[in-house]
Amino acid sequence: MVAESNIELPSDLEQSGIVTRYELLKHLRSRRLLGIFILEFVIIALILVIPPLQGEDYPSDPAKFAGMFLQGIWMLIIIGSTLFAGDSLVSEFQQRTGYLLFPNPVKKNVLFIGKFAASMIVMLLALAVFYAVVAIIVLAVDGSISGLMAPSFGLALLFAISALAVGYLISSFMKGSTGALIMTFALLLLILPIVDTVATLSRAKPVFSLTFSSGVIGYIMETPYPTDFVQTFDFSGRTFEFLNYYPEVSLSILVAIAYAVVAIALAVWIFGRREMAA
Amino acid sequence: MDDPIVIENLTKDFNTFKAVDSLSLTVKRKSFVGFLGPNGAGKTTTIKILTHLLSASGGRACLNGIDVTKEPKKALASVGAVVETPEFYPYLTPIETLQYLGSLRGMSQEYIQRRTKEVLETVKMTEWSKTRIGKFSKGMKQRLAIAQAIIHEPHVLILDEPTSGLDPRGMVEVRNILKELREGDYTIFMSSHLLNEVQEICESVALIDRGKLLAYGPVETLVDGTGSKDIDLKVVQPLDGYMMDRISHFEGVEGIATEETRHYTITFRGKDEDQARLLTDLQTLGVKIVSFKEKAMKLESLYMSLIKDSR
Repeated sequence: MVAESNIELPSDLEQSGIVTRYELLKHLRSRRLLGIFILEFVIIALILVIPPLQGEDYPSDPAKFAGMFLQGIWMLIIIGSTLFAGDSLVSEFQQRTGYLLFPNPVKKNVLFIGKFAASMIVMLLALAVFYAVVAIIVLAVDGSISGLMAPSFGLALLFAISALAVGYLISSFMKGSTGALIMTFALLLLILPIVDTVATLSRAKPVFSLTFSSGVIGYIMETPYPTDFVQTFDFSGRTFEFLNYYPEVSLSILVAIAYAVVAIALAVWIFGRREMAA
Repeated sequence: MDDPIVIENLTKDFNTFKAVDSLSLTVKRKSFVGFLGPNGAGKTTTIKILTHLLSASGGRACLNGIDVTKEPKKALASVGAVVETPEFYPYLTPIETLQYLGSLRGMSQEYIQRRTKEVLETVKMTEWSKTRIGKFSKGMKQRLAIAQAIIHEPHVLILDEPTSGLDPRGMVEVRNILKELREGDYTIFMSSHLLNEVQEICESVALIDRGKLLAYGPVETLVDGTGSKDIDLKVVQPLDGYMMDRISHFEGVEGIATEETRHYTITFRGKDEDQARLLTDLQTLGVKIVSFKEKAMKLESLYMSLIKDSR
C-alpha cells in the first residue's frame, strides 16, 4: 500500500485551478449557461425586430447601432450574477456537499478563489458571445464596427465582476440557495435602482451605486459622452425640473472596483468562518 | 511516530451549551475505535472538529501529530473522512468525483485512475462509475463516500455514523466494506449509536455522553468489567412467591422481575460459569424452562449503566 503522506499536496494556486476546472464543468453541464445563451439571442432578436416593425431603418452609425444592444447588457449581467454566483457558496452548506469537500486538505479561501474564477470565466464567455454576435450584426448591417465596443466590453466585464462579487457576498451568509438567488437578483434589479431613483429625486447624484455606475457600459458608445442636464416641464402652470444624471467613466470604474474588493473581502471572511454546524 | 488521533481537553461551546467538554482521547495506530454515545452526546461535534468542519472552543485535536485546528491543510492530508451523509455534486460521475478529490490531494492522474478502479470495486460501484450521481440512492452515495475517503490510502479514516439512514441491506453492505477495511493499514475512528454495529466491527470503544468521555478501551475488557446483565427467562408455569424468593437469593442474582405471565427478567452479575450454574440451579429448583438467554448485549448493558450514571 502506498502511504498517502508520500504524496505532496498541491500548492494553493494549483488547488484553486483544480476547483475552477470542476466548477466550470458544473456551469457547462447546467442549464443555466444554456439559459443565458438563449436569453442573449432573444434580446438580440427582439432588438433586431423592433425597428423594422416600426418602419424604421437600423442606425447607420455602427456605434449607435451597437449601443442599442448594449443598453440592455446590465440586465444580462444581473441574471448572470444571480445564476453563477447567487448560490455558489451557500449550496455547499444547504446541499451538504460541504461535508464532501471541506474535510479535504484545501483552504476555504482557495475554494472561494476557484469558484469565483469559474464564475468569472462563464460570465466572460456569456458577455463575449453577446458582444461577438452584436459585432457581427453591426458589421453585416453597417459594413463596419465601432472601436468603442472594446471599452464597453471591458467595462461590462468589470461590472460583471462587481456584480458577481455582490452575489458571492450574499451567498456567503444566506442560509438557503433560493433566498440567495432571489436576494441577489432583487438587490441588483430592484433595490439599488430604487435607491438610485430616490437619490435622483432628492437631487443627489447616486455615484455610489453600482447600478447607476453600470450605465457607463452603454453610454460609452455615445459620442460625445453624455453629461448631466436638467429637463423642465410646464404642467398646469407649474414648472417641474427633472434631473438627468450620467455616470462619469473614471468614477464608475472606481465604484465598480470598490464594490468588487469590499464584497470579495467580506465574502472570503464570512465563508472562511462559516461552519458546517447543521 | 505520533499516534494517529490525539484529542486533548477538547471543548466546543455553542453559546451556553457545552457540546464537547474537555474531551481527551488517543487512538492508537491500526486500531478500529468505535465512538459511542446517545444523540447529542458530542460525537458528531468531535468528528466535525477533527475534520475541520467546526472550530474548537478550546483544547487540541491532532491528526498524525498535527493540530487540525491550527494547520488543517497539513493535518487533513493523510486523513479520509465520511461525515454525516455527504451529498455529491449531481453533475459529476463517481469517476469524475474521485478525480476531483484525488487531484485536490495531489495524486497523479495515473495513481487516481488505478485507485479509482480499486476503490469502486471495493464499494461495489464499478457498474455505476460513469453514471452521474444525481439519481443515486442514499446507500450508493454512502458507498461512494467511503470510496472517496480511501482513494488516497489515508493512514486515518474518520467515519461519522456511516450506516445512518440506510436500509438493512445498505447497512450490511457498508458494514462488510468496513470489515474489509479493518484488514487494511488503516486507523479507523467511527462514531455510531448502533451498539451491535460497534460490537461487531470495532476493536475498542470510546463511550461519550454530554461531551465527556465515560469509558474507553477494548470492547472485551470493557464488557467483562460490567458483570451485570439481564437474562430473559420463559417458563412453562408461572413462578410462585417461594420460587421467586429462592431465585433472588441465588449467587449472582441481583433481582428478578416479572415481565408478563411466565416471562421474567433476572438481573445477574457473574461470569459465564456462574451463568451456567444459575441455569442448573433453576432446573434443580424445579423450574420448567422454555428459554434462558441474555436479554441484552453486554455492550448495551455497559452503555446503559454508564449513560445512566452520567445523568
